[in-house]
Amino acid sequence: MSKTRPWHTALSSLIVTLADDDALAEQTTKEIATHDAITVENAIGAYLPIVVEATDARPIHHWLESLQGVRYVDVVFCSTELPEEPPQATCAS
Amino acid sequence: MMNMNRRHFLKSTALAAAVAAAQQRANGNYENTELDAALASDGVKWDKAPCRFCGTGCHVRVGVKDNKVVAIQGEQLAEVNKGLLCVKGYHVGGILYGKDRLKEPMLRKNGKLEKITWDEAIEVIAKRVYDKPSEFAIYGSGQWTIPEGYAAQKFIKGGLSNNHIDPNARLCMASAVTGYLSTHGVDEPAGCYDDLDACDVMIMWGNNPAEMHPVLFSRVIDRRTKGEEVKLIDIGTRRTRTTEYSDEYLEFRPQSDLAIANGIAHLLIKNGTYDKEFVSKFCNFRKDTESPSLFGQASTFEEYSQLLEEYTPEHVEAISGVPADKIRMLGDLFGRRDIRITSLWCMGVNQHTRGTNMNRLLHGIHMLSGHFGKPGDAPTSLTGQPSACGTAREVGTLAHALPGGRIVAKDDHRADCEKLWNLPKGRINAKPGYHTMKMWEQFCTATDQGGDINTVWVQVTNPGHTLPHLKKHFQNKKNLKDKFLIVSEVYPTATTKLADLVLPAAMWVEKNGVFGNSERRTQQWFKMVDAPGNARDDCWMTIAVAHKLYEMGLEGMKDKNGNFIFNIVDESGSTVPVWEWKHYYDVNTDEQLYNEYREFTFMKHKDVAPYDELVKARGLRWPVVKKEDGKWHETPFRFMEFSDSYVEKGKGLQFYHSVTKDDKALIWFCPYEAATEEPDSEFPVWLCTGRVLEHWHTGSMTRRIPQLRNAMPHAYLEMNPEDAKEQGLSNGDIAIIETRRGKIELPVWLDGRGHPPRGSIFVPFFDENLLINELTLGDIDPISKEPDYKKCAAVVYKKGAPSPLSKSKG
Repeated sequence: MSKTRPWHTALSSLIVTLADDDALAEQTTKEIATHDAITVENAIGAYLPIVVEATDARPIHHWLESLQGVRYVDVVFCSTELPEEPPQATCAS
Repeated sequence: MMNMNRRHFLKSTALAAAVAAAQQRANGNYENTELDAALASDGVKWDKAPCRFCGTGCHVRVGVKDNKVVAIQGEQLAEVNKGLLCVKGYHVGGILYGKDRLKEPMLRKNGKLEKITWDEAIEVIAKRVYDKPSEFAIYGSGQWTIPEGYAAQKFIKGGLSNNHIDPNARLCMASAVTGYLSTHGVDEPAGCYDDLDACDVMIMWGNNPAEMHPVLFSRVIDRRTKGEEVKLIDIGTRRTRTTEYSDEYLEFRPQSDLAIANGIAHLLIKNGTYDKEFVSKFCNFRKDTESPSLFGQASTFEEYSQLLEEYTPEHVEAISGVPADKIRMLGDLFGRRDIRITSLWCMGVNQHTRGTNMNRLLHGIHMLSGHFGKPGDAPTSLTGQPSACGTAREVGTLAHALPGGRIVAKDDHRADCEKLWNLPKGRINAKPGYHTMKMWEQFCTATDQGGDINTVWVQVTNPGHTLPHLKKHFQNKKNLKDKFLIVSEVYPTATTKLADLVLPAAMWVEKNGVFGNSERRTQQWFKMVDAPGNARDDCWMTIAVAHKLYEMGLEGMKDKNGNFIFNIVDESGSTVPVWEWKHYYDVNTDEQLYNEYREFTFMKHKDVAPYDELVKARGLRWPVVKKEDGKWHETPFRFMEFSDSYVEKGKGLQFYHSVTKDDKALIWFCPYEAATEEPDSEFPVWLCTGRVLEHWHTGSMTRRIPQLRNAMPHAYLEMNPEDAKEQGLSNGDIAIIETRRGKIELPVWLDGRGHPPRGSIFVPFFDENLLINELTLGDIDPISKEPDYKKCAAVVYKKGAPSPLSKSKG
């Protein structure tokens, strides 16, 4: 399930709400799964749980929202840690 | 370096949380929801807290290791967000760790803020109060926890007897308060978020929940995903992200929402589709007195109908620009009995020079059409701060109010409070204190010119950024040497720039707390990490100053037996000296203050839950009542017999705090009236201000998070491309916006996130380097005293081009 990734990036998990069209949803899931920073779990109905590991999750969030087969993106989890301890913790970095 | 195992653990937790939330969304249940199950693996301890940002009241699970917040996840047990968060919730853990956290008290000496001790800081404040108690004010916010706000208002009203305390909720929610009061006779909504799960039509009035309350909006969008039909109608002055999801977009001329609501009421009567039975059983009619007042004067259905005569669809179209057939569409929808309609609004309706009236009209069309009193049929004002309802409104921090819906002007209410606080009779002043706008005006006016507020203590808010017409209401303080500004803050802000004394504050999970969200839900959390440096709780600061005054012999700090007014005790009943920081957490001060406050909540049937019940729950909606089964039950739907224990059996619906004392609500007639400043030949465009997705209000927290700051680094001017073309402006060009109060330079953003119509511009207010509130109007609603940030007249031109104003002046 989990791809090998560099661990120096922060972590968040999202639910992607997929389109009604099954073919489009499947194609979109595949497209999302190819993203290097994303780990995809099996969809439950129209809801696709994913984990994002990236230097900045916001562009990924925007990218997800722009996909034709994506209706909505919700956030579930976020790590606030950076690779170096303090001085400034933040999330999705 | 981060421990690899912990990262693995966090990742599996992140994925498990997403799977659980997806499971909940798809099937309506969780597989693994117990918070205990997530405890203490790999040293990360999880606990629950409400999100620090908006008034939605999402719950988060906070992961803590080594005295530091390391992760955030949506709380799966929370009914509000069902395991989800919005993009700001993403970052809520990061707000604690900005590099420039304030860590030491600082006093301005020779123009510079210099570090002092807490003892010195408390003494400085106490001396300012002691010398002129009647000229001392506290300005707080809907970000105060309930115990913090309760302590602050008890200090001012029960201690100093001047009532000069007001929250920034005056700037955002005051018109909702007066709307509820003048309709139901008591503040706060009848419905709740469950309405979003049951409505067939959701109408958003000047409201952009897709960006400002995304978790709630997502709840409705999710229903569509499951195949349910929900019609979304966006009634706004500019296209937003909400518009993209809506079935109908009705664009109206600013201020003319009043006419649209009247147009709907007109059609309900003309077509005979109003709910006659509902109206006759549950409603009376009102209209305003000559000078506007909270309860107006009695009217009749006949007079109401007559006053609405002129609001034909064509007349409404002429005023609002909304096509007559769309007004008919709205009238037809409200006339149907087979659907349920929820109206949502927020700042578009509340920050309005006729905000009270617009609130009344929205309640009115729901009452008139009978779209009230059933799940899904609800008019609801959303809030922008996490405890605007719980603290600012309910605890009585408004200048005219006392806890639990009481007001200072009523003899019996003051007597009640004096009894509960064990104060001598007559301690509480019957005269309301200064509301926000007046307080700051008086503070920024020279003493010899009548400026009778000498010292203001700001807690948990940023008025140097948010007040309208900032020069008049804040910046003029700069030249008034005898005025003294105290600011409790977590980061440097536009307000601390003018502060004479800065107090470093603990925030969110660095302290215990209780919030109350938009749907009457009270939420509790415990302190999880220490605040940095010498930052301390706001509530401690208030108690410490009060005790210093007690030591100095100020009578107001004593109850009628001569004891200190904040008596916090241990299990044996002995006083704990919580005014000394080292003892503040010896006992749960929050719990004791909350329990004291709770006694005030029963009179208006706003019974908040016992503290221990809140500890177990993810928030409980008041009134919370113990029933025959021995359990505490919350009340999702107020005034409705199927949900509210205080409704008498057989009544169905009962407005038990009715203004007219007959259990009926009021339907108001309020006319369309022009805005106080409209575009003209000199200032030809409407200026609207508001929020953005990335930043919460003034950005003092979210701008410390690099990703959010980088995603939205500065404010911008949103304008219509045709208008821009006329001014020779393209994307990225610097434009000058000028109003009668000042001017500002901003980069232009065309076809960006929002799309204003011609003759209208939008500027977000989050940027402390580009303070748009230097330009905003400052005119207020005559009843709620809430200012209008959504409309004033402006002129826009390209930087370097001659000012159109100099041309028009010849």
